Amino acid sequence: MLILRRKAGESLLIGEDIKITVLTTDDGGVRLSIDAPKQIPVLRSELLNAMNANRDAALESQPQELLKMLEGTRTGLQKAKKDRE
Amino acid sequence: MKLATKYFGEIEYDGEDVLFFTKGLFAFEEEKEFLLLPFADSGGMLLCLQSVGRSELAFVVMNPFSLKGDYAPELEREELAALEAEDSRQLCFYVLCVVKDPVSHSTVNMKCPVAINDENHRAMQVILEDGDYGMRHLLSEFGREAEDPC
Repeated sequence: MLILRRKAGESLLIGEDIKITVLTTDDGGVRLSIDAPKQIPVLRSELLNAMNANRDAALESQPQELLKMLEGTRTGLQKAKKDRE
Repeated sequence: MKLATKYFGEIEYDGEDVLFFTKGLFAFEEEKEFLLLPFADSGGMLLCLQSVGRSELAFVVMNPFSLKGDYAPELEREELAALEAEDSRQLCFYVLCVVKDPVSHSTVNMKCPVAINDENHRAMQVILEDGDYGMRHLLSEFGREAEDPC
């Protein structure tokens, strides 16, 4: 694991074909430019997590059970509201 | 038009109700057309995002505002442009659920909602940059209030 410090305008070279340049930095984050061959995918890491979350969501499931659970909660909430009035 | 669905058997639908996802969904980029089908008796809280092209592909989605009344998704400028909307508040949002067994272990992805422009039926799944949302919130985390997703 390599840890480096770069200032705006400075770059990193990964292998022979990949160059990452820090464009700007501020409290909200770092703006990077990534120069890499087309065949190398460059993804925000959240994207891989998002893909896995979607794959899990697409699996066989029993929404009727979820429906029952939610109905129970809504009825419980409505009753609680009535009791308060 | 007829469609074989994952949870509702064969249904009739209006072509005008189809939602168009130019970029599909994450991990399902080839699926561009979906229908939003509400589960009866859920008070609008639970729906199904059904692929038109693949009967067996359907997602259970929820109205995020019924989970978190102050849910405030903000899209990036390019995302709004792709949906031909001027403001995130003009859009409808739904979040994908991973329904588990036992069902109390089910989670919702508040970080990657599906945004829908009701006027032109364009839709996209986004990853929210801001906000403290995660991809796998336990349903039990949320107190519930009834609110409109649009």
